[in-house]
This record gives sequence, structure tokens and C-alpha cells, in this order.
Amino acid sequence: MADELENAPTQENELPVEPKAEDANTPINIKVVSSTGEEVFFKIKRNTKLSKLQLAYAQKIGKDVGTIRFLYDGERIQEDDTPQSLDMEENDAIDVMVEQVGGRR
Amino acid sequence: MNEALADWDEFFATLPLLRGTDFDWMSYKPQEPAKYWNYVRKAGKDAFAMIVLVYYLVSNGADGSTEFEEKLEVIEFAIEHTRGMYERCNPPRLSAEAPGVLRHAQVERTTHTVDKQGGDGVRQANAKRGSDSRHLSWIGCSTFSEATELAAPLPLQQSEQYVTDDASFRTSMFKTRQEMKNNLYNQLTSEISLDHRRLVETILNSAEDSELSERERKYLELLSLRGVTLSSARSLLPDRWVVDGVINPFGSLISVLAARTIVILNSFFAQKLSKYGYEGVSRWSRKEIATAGGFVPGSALKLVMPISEPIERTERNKGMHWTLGVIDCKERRVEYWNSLNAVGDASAFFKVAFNYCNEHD
Repeated sequence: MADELENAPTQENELPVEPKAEDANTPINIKVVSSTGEEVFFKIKRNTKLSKLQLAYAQKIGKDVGTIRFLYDGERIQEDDTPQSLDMEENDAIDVMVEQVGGRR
Repeated sequence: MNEALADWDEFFATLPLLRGTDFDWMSYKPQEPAKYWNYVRKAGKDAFAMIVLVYYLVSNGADGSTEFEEKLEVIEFAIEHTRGMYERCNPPRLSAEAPGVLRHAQVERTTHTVDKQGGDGVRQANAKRGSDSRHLSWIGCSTFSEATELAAPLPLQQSEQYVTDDASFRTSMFKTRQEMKNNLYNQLTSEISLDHRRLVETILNSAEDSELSERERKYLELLSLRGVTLSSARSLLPDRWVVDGVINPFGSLISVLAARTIVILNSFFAQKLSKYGYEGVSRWSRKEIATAGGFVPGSALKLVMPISEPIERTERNKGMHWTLGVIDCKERRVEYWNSLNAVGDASAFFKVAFNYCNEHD
């Protein structure tokens, strides 16, 4: 009886934990789509800050990172966001848009 | 009350518009568009400051500190006022008596069934109704061009005619706008205390973050909390153009604070939608839209999209003017708000809006 009680919870706990442990450091493929439709693929770890990817992309296309915007599902990606914190999935796309301005009239 | 809170209490006191309003909205006369528009601007600016403040208080109270109860009162006060401000800022619908301060091109959606034997049945039905506005079917049509075709026999864009026909009105509006533009900054800042004004100016004008004092840094933190960076905030200085980095963070804040039925979308929404269709934006603000009742005709949802005009970019025109598009599910209406009469991007927005309506299942 005692053994059964001890074993039951551990078995239940192990199941959901297993895939998570795998996720933490596994790289994920992310697609960066420019406003003209060009796609660039990045492979980064789930817990790596996306700001790194942003810098790399800006460097690649030769633009200042301040003049372009990175959006995931319509939300601007913040400084500390990672694929994990945004719940990103394999082959998810990040949109890159050019800064928008408007006069105050 | 602790020192920090007293500091903010002082800040409250510097916002005269939030302590009460001298503008009587019930007796608003369309003959005074300048006064009205001016007020919206001022109220908007103060609401902006208030929103920053509310967010600051909320995020700082969450640490479980003892002053939370006290802060809560302030927060409730602030939310009440911000919401009130928002409601008052909701401009009355333009009529023949109120020629376009804002161009309010309006398209009504009707839910009739399309006559399978040819579009004429619908056209006649529309014509019989003898209505002045364009009737476009939302549910009955599969494409925008089909919807436009249905609307074609009817007199178009009546609200635009008010604007373009009245040359003297247009001239006077242009003059007023120029004056307002010149005076806006001074008007706004003179109503804020000198100290507050100096603080904001120092922050915005500083080249390096390290030049800032402790208090200024705290202020800057307020801005960065919602993702407004210093470089974006600087676009609020006179003679600069406002960037999306200011519009979007505050858009999402207002969505949270205003009634839950209003969803303010990202300013890139329209651009993305026009290029990639519904597929491109199907995941954007999904949760917020669902919470507000979903994108269903008749639901309480009001989708608001800030648009940097024009929606479709060209080499020559990379955007120069902020406008606002609205899809109102409850009223079954699409609206486009543009403070510049001359620029005609309304049709581009309607196209985008109808694509969204039609491709949405």
C-alpha cells in the first residue's frame, strides 16, 4: 500500500515534465519575414533573448536596429523576450516592419 | 502617505484638465470645430499622462507593499477619469450641419441576401431604400469589388462632398490648423506646471541616459515600462513626427483601460492585412478580440486601427500622416478618421476592412 501511494504521484509528475526538460535548450527554427516578403531563417535556443536575433538580422540587412520593428503575432518583441517566454513554436514567423511616422496635424 | 506617492499627488495637481472640465459637451455646437478639436487634443494629452501614471502605480503596487491600499484609491480615481476622458473624446457623428472637421466617410453594412439571379435585385432594393449613404453588404459579398459594385448606383461619399464643396470652410480650417499646430506645444505645456514641463524637456532633449538625475530617470522608467524607448519618446517634441513606438504601446494601454469592447490594434495591422490578407493577421490580438465578444456582426466589439497613411507603401510615399480606421461590429459600420481632407486613402482602408470582414469566418 505504502509503495503504491509513493509511486503513483511520481509517475503522474514525470509525464508532463519530460517534454519541458527537452525544450529548455533545444534549438528552434524561426523565420523572419520582411515587409517585402523575403524570408530569413534563424536557429536559436529557446532561452536565448530574441534581441540577439534582432541585432543579427539588422546587421545582415545593413539597417540600424532602431529603425525596424520586430513583431510576433502583432506584438512588438520586447528587450527581454525569448522564444520560451513568447511560447513560440517551430517555424513560427517574426514580422519585420519599417518604422512608421506621421506628422502631428 | 509616503514620499513617492506625495510626489505623484503633486503631479496630479498639475493636470488641470483632469480635475474637472470646462467644456460642456452637451452644448457643443458644430459651428465651433476648432474649439472642439482643440479640446480633444488637450484631453488626449492629459489622458496620455494619466495612463502612464496609472500603469506606474499598478506595477509598483504589485510588490505587496503596505501603501497598496492607498495607491488603490488613486488608481481607481485615475481609471475613472481616464475612462471618462475617453468617452468624452468620442466625437459625435458628423451630419450635414457639421461639415468635416474630420473626414468621416461612412459605409453602412447591411445583411441582405444576394440575389442569385443577378445583382440587380439587391441594387434595386438599395436604391428603393433611397438612402444617402453607401450600402455595402458584408455578409452577402465575397469580395470587395463585388461589394463596391453593389454600391455603385448609389450617390457616393456624401460626407466628402461637404468637405470639398465648401471652399471657404476648407480655407478657414486650414488656417486654424496651421495656427493650432504652431501653438499646440505652448498651449499644452503652459497648462502643466513649470517643474513638470522642465522635467519632460530635459529627458527628451538629453543625448545620453547618463546625463539624467534620479527623478528624471524615474520618469524615463515610466515611459520604458510600456516599451516606449527614449528615442521614440523624443518624437513627441515639437516639429518632430510621431513614430509607431509611441502610438502602439499607448494603444495597447488604452485597450486595457478603456471599455473591454474596444480593441486597439497594432499600427502595422492594416499594412500587413493589405499585403497578406486575413491569413497574415489571423493571430493578431486574438485573445483581446475574443474577450470583447469576437468578430461577429452585432457583437459589441469595436476594432480600432491606427494607420500610418498610406497603407500601401510606395518608393515615393513612405508614410507621413496618422489616421484612424474603425470597424464597428455593433453598428455594423466601417469608419475612417482623417484630419487632413485632401488625402484620399479612405478607399484603401475600406478595401482592407472589407477583406478582413469577408475572409473572417
